[in-house]
Amino acid sequence: MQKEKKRALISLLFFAKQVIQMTKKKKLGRKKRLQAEKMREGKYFGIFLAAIGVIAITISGIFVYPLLKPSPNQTNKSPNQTHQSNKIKAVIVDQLGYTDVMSNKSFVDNATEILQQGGYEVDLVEGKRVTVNFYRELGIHDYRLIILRCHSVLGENKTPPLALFTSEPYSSYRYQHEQEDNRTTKVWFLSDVFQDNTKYFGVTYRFFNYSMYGDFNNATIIMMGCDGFRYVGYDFYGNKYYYGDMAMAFIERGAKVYISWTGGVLGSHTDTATITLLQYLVKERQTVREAVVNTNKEVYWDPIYGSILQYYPFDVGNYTIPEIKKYDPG
Amino acid sequence: MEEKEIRKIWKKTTLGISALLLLMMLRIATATGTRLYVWPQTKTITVNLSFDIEIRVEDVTDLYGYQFKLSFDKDKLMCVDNDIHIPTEWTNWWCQENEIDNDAGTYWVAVSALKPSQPFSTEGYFSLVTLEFKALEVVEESVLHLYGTELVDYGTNIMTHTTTDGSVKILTPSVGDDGISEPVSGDELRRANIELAISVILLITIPVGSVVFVICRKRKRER
Repeated sequence: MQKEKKRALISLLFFAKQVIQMTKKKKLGRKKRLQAEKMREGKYFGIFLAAIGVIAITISGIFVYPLLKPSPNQTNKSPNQTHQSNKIKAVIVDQLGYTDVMSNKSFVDNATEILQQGGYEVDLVEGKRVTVNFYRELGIHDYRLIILRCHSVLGENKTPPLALFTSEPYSSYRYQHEQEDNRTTKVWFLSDVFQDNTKYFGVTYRFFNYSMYGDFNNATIIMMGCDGFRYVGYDFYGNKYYYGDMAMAFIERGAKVYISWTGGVLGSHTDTATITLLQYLVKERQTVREAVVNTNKEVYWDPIYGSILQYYPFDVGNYTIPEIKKYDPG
Repeated sequence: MEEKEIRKIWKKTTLGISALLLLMMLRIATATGTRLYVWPQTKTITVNLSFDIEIRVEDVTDLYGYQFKLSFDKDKLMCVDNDIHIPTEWTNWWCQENEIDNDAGTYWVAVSALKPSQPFSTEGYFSLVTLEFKALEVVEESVLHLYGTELVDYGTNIMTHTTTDGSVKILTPSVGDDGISEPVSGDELRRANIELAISVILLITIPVGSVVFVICRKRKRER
């Protein structure tokens, strides 16, 4: 019985071996072999292409990500934030100097001289250096007097917000978060006056509200561009006053007073008026109200646009900018 | 004595008033005569922009030909175009001179009607020429001076007339009024991102894919 079982098991094993050998030895035809080879090659090719795709996407990601990297959000502090300088500083931001037509060296020289004689250490930021990131860091340098000699433009049909020109050419890929949030806009000239068709980045009041580092630390802001005050309002006593989104943003970020134009202004007129204003503010140490009123009396309104200088907020009229040292006429 | 003095003063005053009235009448008479002038008399423009001026003739009778020269400051202005207007009565005419010389800063035009044209008359004004200038440099005042002017009638008689020059004031441009700010929409930015990603991917895959394709074909041929 046991022998029989043994024999049956052996025959079963033998059969199994036969079957295995048969399947192993079963040779494919030439056609089928080629087909299998093709399939194998196609599979490798697919894997190879997929690998290239993955690499391409990774590399494109590496390229694209830095361009699309979100810009810093509302930040009042920055690692570079400094308010440590002992010297009282003023800055002339001469974005207009970027174009030959508006370049005015004598304005820069005269303004620098008045400020230096009044005890200020004067920084000059000209042309191409006036970028979005320059405005981002404007609040960290502890400037007490900021002169913005720049183009400023409104939207279509003179609608707000007002945007200050930078000299940084516009790109869809930079500052995307800030573009989407209307902190930066696309600005350009409509006429041939400047012989410049380039589109630049503009910065709106939202940029100063949410993207600028630091604060203005009671600085006096003189915004020499057009439409610095676009809106007209009335105070409790019925007095007419001018205000604007940009003016409010600067005050909200710590500026003491913001002085600008009630409408459009010619380059030559704003230069003349600002020099006069600086003489009244720094040299003669008049209050903001006196200086603005006397400047308007002296230079009159703009000959083309009829705009005049105004200040904001209304209640700082009696403010006199701090005396750093007795004015030294040299 | 006093009476005599009063009479003297009265005489002088009367004479003065009469002289003044005579002068005024003469002036009015001159003003209402034929006039060749630059219009507008003063033009204010910002630098780099172009503008038109016209040379007009006013209150003219039987005009049958004219010529004039206009000088301008070649450093401040450039004459870029001109357009001569011919009265409808002049059915046949000849333009002897029509020359812009920006090196010298002059413009010279001479036009005469030919038969069977009728002489031209108007009590108002007629624009003879329109000139287009480009403002080159900032200047408080640049004069457009008319000289060598001649107006002739049908009998080729020279007509008496007065001329009035023009002037141009060239200003610096405004600091923003010529510009515009446009917010950028999120969709526009996303579209730009997609375009950028696609172009980068294509830039990488197309050359690499082509190389792989060539290698595969080569291997296949070898087999």
